[in-house]
Amino acid sequence: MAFKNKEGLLLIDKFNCDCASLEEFRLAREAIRENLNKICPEYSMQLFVAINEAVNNAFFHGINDHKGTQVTIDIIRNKQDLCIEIKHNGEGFTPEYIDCTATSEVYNDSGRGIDIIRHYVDSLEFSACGREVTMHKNLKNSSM
Amino acid sequence: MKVNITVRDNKVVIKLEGSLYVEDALLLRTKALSYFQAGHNNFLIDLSQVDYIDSSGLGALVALQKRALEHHGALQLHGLTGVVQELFELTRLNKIFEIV
Repeated sequence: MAFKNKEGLLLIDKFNCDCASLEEFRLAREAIRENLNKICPEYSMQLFVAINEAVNNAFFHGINDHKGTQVTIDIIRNKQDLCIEIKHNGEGFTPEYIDCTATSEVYNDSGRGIDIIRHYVDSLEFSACGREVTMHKNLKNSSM
Repeated sequence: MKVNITVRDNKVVIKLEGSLYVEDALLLRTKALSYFQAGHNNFLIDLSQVDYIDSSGLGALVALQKRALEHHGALQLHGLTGVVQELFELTRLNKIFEIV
């Protein structure tokens, strides 16, 4: 369904999801996968991987007090770009960019999430003390 | 995720099916550790029916491999395909596991 946003930009589609707990996110995962298949079938799995890692980071590193916290996922697509914003209202965290492929890190049990996200999107930015993550996928060469 | 565990020729074969998310990673660690406690140290993880594994799942497999090596055993992986194989390659974990 095509429509215009307040700036007059023609949008092809968008999706929003709020999760108050990891259990709610578990129940929402299939809906997110299905919606990504509709919004951006050419990169749906890669984008799902990035979203799953970012939401896990929010629940396990950004939110220390689970009471009253919420993770919001917004996905907006236009013809040339797909933007994913993941926000939460917890304490936030300082993202560590670890090269998980380095020999010294490869045997670590954790620390791969951000590297995996960076592999699947064209840009990744943390803001609001780690409470907001913005990812972009360039669709200029997309067939849609 | 479905988990099926059998013991063949003293090797613990763990067949996984579906997507391996953070909650499944915890379950996998717990189940596998019970076999270490029972004296097993050789494991084969069959991922041929797994369509996705997140970073916590990868971490769980690394932890189990370290545990197996500490117990003078081994952990082998089988059946990596699609995104699962891609994730092992981009994190270079394909270099530290024996893939059969």
